[in-house]
Amino acid sequence: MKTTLRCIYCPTGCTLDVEIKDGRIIVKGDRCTKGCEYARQEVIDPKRIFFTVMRVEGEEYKVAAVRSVAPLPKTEIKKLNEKFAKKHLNKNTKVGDKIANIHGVDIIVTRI
Amino acid sequence: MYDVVVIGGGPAGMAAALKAKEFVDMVAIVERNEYLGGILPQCIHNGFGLQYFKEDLTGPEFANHLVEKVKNEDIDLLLGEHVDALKNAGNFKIQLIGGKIESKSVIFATGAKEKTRYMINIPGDRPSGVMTAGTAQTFLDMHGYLPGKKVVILGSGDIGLITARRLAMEDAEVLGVYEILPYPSGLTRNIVQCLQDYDIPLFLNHTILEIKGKKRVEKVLVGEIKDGKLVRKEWVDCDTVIIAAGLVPNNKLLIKMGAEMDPKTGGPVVNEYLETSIKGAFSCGNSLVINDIVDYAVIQGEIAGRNAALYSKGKLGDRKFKRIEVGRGIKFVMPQMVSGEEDVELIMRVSEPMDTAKIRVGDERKTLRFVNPSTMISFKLKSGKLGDAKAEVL
Repeated sequence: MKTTLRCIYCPTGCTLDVEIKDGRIIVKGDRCTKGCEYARQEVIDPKRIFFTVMRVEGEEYKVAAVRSVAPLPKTEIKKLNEKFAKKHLNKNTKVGDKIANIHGVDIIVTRI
Repeated sequence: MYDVVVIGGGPAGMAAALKAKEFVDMVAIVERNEYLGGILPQCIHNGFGLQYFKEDLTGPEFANHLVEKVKNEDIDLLLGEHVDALKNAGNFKIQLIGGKIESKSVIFATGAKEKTRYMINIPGDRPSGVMTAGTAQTFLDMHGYLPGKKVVILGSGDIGLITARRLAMEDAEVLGVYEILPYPSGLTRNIVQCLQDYDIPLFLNHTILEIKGKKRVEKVLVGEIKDGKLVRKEWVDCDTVIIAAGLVPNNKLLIKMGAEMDPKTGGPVVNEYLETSIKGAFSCGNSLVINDIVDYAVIQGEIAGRNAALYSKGKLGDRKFKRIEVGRGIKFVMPQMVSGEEDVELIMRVSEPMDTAKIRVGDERKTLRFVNPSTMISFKLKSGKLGDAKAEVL
């Protein structure tokens, strides 16, 4: 199977030609190792960094921002977003605090 | 008396102040908001800092890296301030709300503003629900309010693509991104991870002809343009129109002071020190040239910071500059004035999409594949290679 992907790792956006042959994944067109990693992951199980905003206890007009420290399955991103929208962060939470762990990946606060 | 005063506390301004502080003692940042970071705090997605910090950061994290450094240095922070008047009388006299300050040099890191509906002339009613992509992002990611449920996006700039994704994540229906040009103006990675990931259609060669709505937006008239002619039009029901038509550098103060401007970049004409036509006044970041990524703005900040500091000590070299002649196929080149005495990184854009672009500047050449005007090109010009100082696509 052959497919063409555009790398999303950096702003360069390399065109990646990916071929799956006898269970091996061959990537061409990548200009760095990250591109090759991205292409392999993308054809097996696409993953993205998860990020969203969360309400903070006692705050009406301000939300905190959170992210996953590593990519999570793309198909779960929207579900995760719904899950986190229902939670409130404690007002003493600080930037960098771990607030959850999804499939072994920490969710941390990036802005509060 | 300050050695360097930086106007604007976004990424470029913070980088400028930090670099200046390595050379001189008295450095200040004047910032309109009560906090540093510029627009970064509301850009909660990842993808920042890969070049500069070699890390994949979100906007707030990128800003924090710089804010922490600024706070650890003895840099005066004049927050919630506004520059009322700025005079160049040997030293720079700066009138703020909170009083007068004086500085030997000034760095303008005043960022950019988004084009509004009225700058791109969309006729029709004036209901609520028409806003720029950045405003929608502020509603959603700073205040936690969904600005619309059925959204049409005009323009395929990165801020629009990023906002489209966030709206889709929050279950708003994003009907499409309409781009008048035959190619998207945002980065390829954002077409993939913002539009394709969320099945948002991209309509190239399309624009919005009219907005209808009594109190709130009710529908827009969308038109397909081919070879300058309207070939098809259709009403699309929606409650929100988001304008993502690009950024305009903010240079009110510099213009008022009489600095020479470059109509192609919207920023001032600068030499390789990033010094404007006003001696001792420097420029960096999006007020100098609209950058594709924040990393470039920070690098410009560092160049301006170093050179402003050297200027304040009377140690900035006195070079003879040649003006780069912008030739065929090139939209602009920044810096506009180059000496050829030192290696310099030129920032440029091509004027139209090209499969192969053989770019020449002076005696230096570089070939690039698949470039369009939305790709920012970095061109390294080695010392002694300035030649005829002409930039063109061969």
